[in-house]
Amino acid sequence: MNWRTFRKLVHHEWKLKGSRRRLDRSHTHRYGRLLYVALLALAGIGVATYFAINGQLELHQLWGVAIGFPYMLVVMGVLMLRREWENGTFGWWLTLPYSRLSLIGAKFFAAWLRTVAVSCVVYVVISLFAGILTLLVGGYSAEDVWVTMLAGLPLLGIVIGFSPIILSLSLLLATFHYTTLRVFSPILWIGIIGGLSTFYNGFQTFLPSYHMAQRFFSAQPGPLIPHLGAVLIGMVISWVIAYLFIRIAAYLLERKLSI
Amino acid sequence: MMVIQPIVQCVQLSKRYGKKYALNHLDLSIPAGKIVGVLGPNGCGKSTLFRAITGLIAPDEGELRVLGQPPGWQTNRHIGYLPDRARWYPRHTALQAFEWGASFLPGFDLEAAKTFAAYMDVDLEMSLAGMSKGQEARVMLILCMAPEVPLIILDEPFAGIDFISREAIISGMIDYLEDREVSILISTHDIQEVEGLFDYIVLMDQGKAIWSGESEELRGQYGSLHDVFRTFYKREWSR
Repeated sequence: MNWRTFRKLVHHEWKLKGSRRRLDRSHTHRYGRLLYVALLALAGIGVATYFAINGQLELHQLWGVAIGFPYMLVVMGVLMLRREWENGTFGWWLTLPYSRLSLIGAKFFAAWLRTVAVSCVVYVVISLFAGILTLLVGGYSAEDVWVTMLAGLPLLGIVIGFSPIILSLSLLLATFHYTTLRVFSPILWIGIIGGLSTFYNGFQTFLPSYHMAQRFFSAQPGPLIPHLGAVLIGMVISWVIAYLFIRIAAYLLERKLSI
Repeated sequence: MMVIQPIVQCVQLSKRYGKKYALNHLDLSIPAGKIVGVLGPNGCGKSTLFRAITGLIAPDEGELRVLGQPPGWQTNRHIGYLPDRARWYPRHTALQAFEWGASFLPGFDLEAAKTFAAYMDVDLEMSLAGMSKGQEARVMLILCMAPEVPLIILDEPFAGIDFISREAIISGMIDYLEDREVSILISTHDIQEVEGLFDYIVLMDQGKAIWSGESEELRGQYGSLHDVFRTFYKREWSR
């Protein structure tokens, strides 16, 4: 397959093509979900504003939203594949005249690009919100906003850098479900949930902090990410593992599909 | 004498789901250039055969050759395939579906697709989510017929489709067949409407081909396809 076709495949996967499952739901159900999400967002904004007014919020704490990213990536990866079955389009997708590695690879790249896009949007929204709080609530300085913005960059960089392994594992998990090996699917789910918990417990020391971002503005600026070398090596290793996961998913789709 | 290579050849082909054989040591040779009806009751192995031909599933035993080669994504360059119970992306318009075809299906003729759409009364700007099942089926059939390929496989193209759409699809196919040299494999339950289309017939039961040959020969021996079904599938008929 040439690069141009692969790019088109990635573009096709990137686009939102709708979900039959959602279409089949009633209008009340659909708008109910939208309302639920809007209320959650409003509640988040309300709580943050309340603590800001009472002087109990440090702006960098807004990056706490990043805690949801790994879970979002799992859902994104799984849905990317599952939607072909939900929409009844898996037959079209899997009989395209391209290798299964190209097909699943295009889904993986599209999911990764979506991760980058969502990260950028979250970065802009949090930065704007920090700016608005500073302007409206008071008690914060322009430097607080800059430091918060700076602290967010390496954090989202780490999310983007490590997202391939989570996305590929999610695609692999979703693939297992449609193969003769679906019996292993629950074990893998337990693995991924356990893995994410370990990630949260053990990865703290590698995450950038507000204080490091603060030091960045000092006379002797330090690094923004602690143990940068180890993080980069870990990232590269995770990319290799991600590639292996994608290869296994391609093999399963090629040889073990159960339809 | 020139020997015409079969378009599909199965030798002792088997595919099992658990203990049940979907294809049971199937021996079959389908000649090129024919419109072939692959017929039989539910669960007789028609869809499994088509899935094996398009490389969707890997057979457990036996040999399968499609256009002289083992099936896989490489041979799919030469096949237009309408999968069983297929749907299309709901947010696509018909035109976007055809543009998808032009992007990914080798030999896809976008202008031909638009012509078919006009002939079959398909609104190019209408989204698939707003279409009836019959209209959606027409879009999907066009996706299979617009590429210049030697083999088209249609798995139950008329299932769940109203009479008017069925008529539109069949006349679209007849029109298409006038100027193309192509082999078409069709599985269907609606034998009455399409019986005149077939010039070769494969009757399947329990994963095996119980009869295959020219449709004229079959009709000569047993009468209409309705009578053929009554003769070959007594068990199913009596249910």
